Amino acid sequence: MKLKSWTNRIVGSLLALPLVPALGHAFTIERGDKDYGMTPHEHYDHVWDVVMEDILVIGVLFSLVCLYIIFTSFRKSKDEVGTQRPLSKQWAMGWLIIPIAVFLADDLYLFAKGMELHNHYRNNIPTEAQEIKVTASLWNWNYNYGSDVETDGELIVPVGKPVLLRMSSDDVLHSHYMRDYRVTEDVMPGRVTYQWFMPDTLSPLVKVTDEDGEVTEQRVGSRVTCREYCGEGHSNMYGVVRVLSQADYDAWWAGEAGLEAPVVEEAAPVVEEAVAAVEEAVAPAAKAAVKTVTGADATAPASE
Amino acid sequence: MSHDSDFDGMGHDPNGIPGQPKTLKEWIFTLDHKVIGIWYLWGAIASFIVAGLAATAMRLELGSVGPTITEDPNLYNLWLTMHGAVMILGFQIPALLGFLANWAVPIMVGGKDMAFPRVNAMSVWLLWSGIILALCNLVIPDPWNGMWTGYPPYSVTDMAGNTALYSWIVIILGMSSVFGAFNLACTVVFMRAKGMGWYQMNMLTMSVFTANIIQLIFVPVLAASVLLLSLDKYLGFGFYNPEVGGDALLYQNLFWFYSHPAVYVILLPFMGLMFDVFATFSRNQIFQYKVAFWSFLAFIPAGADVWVHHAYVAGLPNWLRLLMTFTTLLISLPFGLLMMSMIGTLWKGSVKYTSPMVWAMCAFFMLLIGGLTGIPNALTAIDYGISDSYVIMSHFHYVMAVSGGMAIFASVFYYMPKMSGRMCNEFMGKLSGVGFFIGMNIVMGPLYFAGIEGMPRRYYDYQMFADNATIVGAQHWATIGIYVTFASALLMMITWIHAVFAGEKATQNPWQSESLEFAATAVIPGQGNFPVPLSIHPDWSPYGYGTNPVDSFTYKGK
Amino acid sequence: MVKEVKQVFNVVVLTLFILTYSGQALAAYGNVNTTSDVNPEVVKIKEKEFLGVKVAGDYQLVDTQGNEFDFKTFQDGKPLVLALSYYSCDGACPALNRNLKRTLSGIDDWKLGKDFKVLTVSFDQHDNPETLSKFMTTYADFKDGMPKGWAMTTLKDAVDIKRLTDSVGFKFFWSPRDAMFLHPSVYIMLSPEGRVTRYLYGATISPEDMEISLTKALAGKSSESNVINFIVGACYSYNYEDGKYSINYPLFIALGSLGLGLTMLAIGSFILIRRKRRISI
Repeated sequence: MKLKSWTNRIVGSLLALPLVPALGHAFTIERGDKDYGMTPHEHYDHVWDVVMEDILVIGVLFSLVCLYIIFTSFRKSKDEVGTQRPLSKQWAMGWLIIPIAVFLADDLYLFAKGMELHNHYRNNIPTEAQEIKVTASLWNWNYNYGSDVETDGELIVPVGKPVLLRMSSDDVLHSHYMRDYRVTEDVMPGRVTYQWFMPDTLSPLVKVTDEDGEVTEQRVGSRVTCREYCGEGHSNMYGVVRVLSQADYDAWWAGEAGLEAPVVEEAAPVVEEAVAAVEEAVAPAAKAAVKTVTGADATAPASE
Repeated sequence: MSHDSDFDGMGHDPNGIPGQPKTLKEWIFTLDHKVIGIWYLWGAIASFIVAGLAATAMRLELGSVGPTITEDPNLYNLWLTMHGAVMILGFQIPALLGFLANWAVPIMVGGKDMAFPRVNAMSVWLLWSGIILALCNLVIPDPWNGMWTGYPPYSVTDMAGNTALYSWIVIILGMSSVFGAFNLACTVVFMRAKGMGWYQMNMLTMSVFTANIIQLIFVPVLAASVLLLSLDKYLGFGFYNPEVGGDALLYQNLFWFYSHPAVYVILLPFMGLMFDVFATFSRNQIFQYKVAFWSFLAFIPAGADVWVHHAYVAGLPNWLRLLMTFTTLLISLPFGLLMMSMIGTLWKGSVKYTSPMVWAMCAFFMLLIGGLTGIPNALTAIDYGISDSYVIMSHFHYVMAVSGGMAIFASVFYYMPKMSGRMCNEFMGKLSGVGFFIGMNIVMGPLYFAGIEGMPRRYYDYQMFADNATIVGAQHWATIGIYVTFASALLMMITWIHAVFAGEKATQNPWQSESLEFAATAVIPGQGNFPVPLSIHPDWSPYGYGTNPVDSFTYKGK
Repeated sequence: MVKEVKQVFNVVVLTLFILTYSGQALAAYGNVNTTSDVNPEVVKIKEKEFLGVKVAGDYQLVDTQGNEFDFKTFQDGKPLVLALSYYSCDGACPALNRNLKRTLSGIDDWKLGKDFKVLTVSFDQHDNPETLSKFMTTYADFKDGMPKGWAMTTLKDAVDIKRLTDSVGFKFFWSPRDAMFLHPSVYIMLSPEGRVTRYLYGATISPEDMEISLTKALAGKSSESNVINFIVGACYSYNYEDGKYSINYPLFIALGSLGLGLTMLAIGSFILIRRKRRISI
């Protein structure tokens, strides 16, 4: 009796053992600018390798056990029956608790790994990241860099600077995925979603022939594809990331921004049409009530 | 076994237990659960053929870059929609909860029929009307192409085709499921033979019971959320339209709140069937029977709080993603225990590899690969790289679609002697099983690596990846694999047809099983299943090979 | 046609005080005179373009006493209601701030200052602490000073006005003939990290809308209490057409359906238990 209770305790404590190291690591959400020493996609590859090794080890071990059982259990005579009998209580508890402990340990280990990566992707967005507005529509990716600079189907970024995409959709669901940066996020109407990435290497130079037959060298990086089903053109909704050197990027930006340079406006621009329209809408009495407030004598409100 | 002689001339009773119906009228108006089960099976096989042809057409289309057999992406989308919707709603759920549950469970619990035979008949005809409606989608001018998931806002636009048809199919099949689930649950609870305790039930019974509870709880949610799609589209309610105060993301949550448990509605019954097949052909007891029993039930709470893993990248809060990562990982506990019990059943067993066993064994290894490839998908951070890619597609084909399909085919081979009174050709049965296994691995294995390379799901073409040798090669191999699979499926069906018309005559208990559907019935069990009501010995178990008492069950009428 | 009228309704408040003084009936939404030919597009905020933008936190603010502090320090990691006004205004802007005061007094769940902050900033480069204090006392009904957690300020650097208003898509125009600014009357809701989560329009807002909006802004924050906030927030979704929050009906329909399923299960279990008892008796 005494022995039995002791074995129960030992078996039970096995359940808790793997929790100790895993739990401590697992439930600490790290926020802010933590330096992981690598880009998110390098971090992703690291975690991916860990998970793959993990499932490979489990898979191979389990398969070996399965194959051993299969090859040692062929039926030898016609009326032979299996000799397995219900396990004793001790063995049954052991076969329940030890596997659960092993699975749970593995789950928690992977959860901790995955949580760290998740924090890297979602809770450690660099504050200095360049924000680009992505608008998805059937079937196009539009990138707005601010200052009225827009591109369709190509995302142009300078090398070595983090980029945050702020995304929404004009019509149905889409999903913005970049192969090189291992990042996907759905794009929805009526909601705003985010993803960030670190373009750490220049896109390779590729010879591209344009419509006029002219051959130019362009930097063509990884594909942007849509990953949420969006109808007929779903498989046609792709773009490209071009990672340029800072000099090339500045030159491109100057060209783009120069083409559609925003008119330098005053802090309070005057719009004649709007005013005229208001004038018509406003009753004379109301107009009389409008007090004169100009920039020059703002210190003397007209009510006086 | 002594009980063989207990009741003289089983199935040849002087009072004449009617076997299968003779005329078409009797077939159609039958209330016998076994005949209704066979109707379900025919519906499931018809669905499998349609959806399988759609899969073959898609694979041919994707065999090489650029348009291959059609230049219309919408036609491809139609095939894809039909493949997904018909395979799940028309093939797997009806085959498992319709055919298997109807045909086998009432006999396994020692009952004479379902609790409500008329409701049962209504369920099967609702299913058939659903299947016919689904087939209509192939011929109507404006077919539904919004995939089996039907995400708004796409599904409420005119591009998606006939949303009403989709809603109706889901609602009709949902009604069929709810009636069937209620009926089955009542059967398991009330129709058990005298003396049969809960721990004396077959694994299949237990898994079907669990699946039916899941159906009862969750199907109304699906039906309601899908109905709202039609209200949105045709009456302009805007439930899911963000412009007028709706929320497009909510549909995904509601849909997967049902549809993730629905995965277990498929997974559990076919795992239960695999348990039965493994036990019968190893003539051995279930390893850790009680653990497996409770593991099935554990899927109800475990499956109810993980649905967000279908929407990891859909802009939900970060803490919710992490929470659901953890709950998703916990599914590995009951799943792992079931897998251990399953392979443990062969331990110290005496295994004979007949055709059902070969099919079930192949399904087991598919399930193993599927379970393992599910682990990375559970991690939300890993999903940032593989969400909605071929990795996911390959994973659920391994874990649910192909392994489930193979287990269903195993069940057809398993029960063929009892349904038709004839045996399948063993060589052809085993050959088709191994061929199907190899074929599906050639299809789904390479596609997993294409997914790692970034190949997204639901693509009509992949010209943007034409320079990626892995993806192009994987697509090419997968198309070769579909030929092998197609040939094996064809051989399997030929085997069945051959068995039904020209197979070797079956004996009363061809697999030497201890389970009631073999041990206690006639060659083809007739109406009422057993000549007279059964009464069960308290020490009897359907898996009690070598330990069952001599008078494990007796006929009260004797 | 109906849709166009609705859009007009929707969007923007134009010169609330003119309409008030002229004694014309107010339109239901946005206080735009329906007979007006004013094209509200002129100052309409392109919500879809600007939702989610981050407001830079480096603006130097000056309050009525001449104290200087920066935007980020003031926000202090809490949701923030940003009301852009100009202080020589004696109609729309005082009304905007008065309404806000009234609206906030109807909010029970969140405490101003503790859970969220309010910031009124001038977009008129000529505003200074004097005009501000006059505005506070004469027009805006803040004679007793500002409530804790609400600051009424001007921007120290006139260049920042354009930076701030452009970054949130707030447009305004000076009309010399009428001697006033045309501008939308809007509360800009900022998340704890300073991103625009919602534009709420001055005339349509109710305390409930403000409360839901704050709840949703809090739910996005990583904290322990956000589960409840998230669930409460999930019950409502924003209606762009009406500028209000509306109940998320599918959620309740689905919950009802789930209830149906659970009821069926409960009835089944009840019958089972009763039957078992009867058998044992």
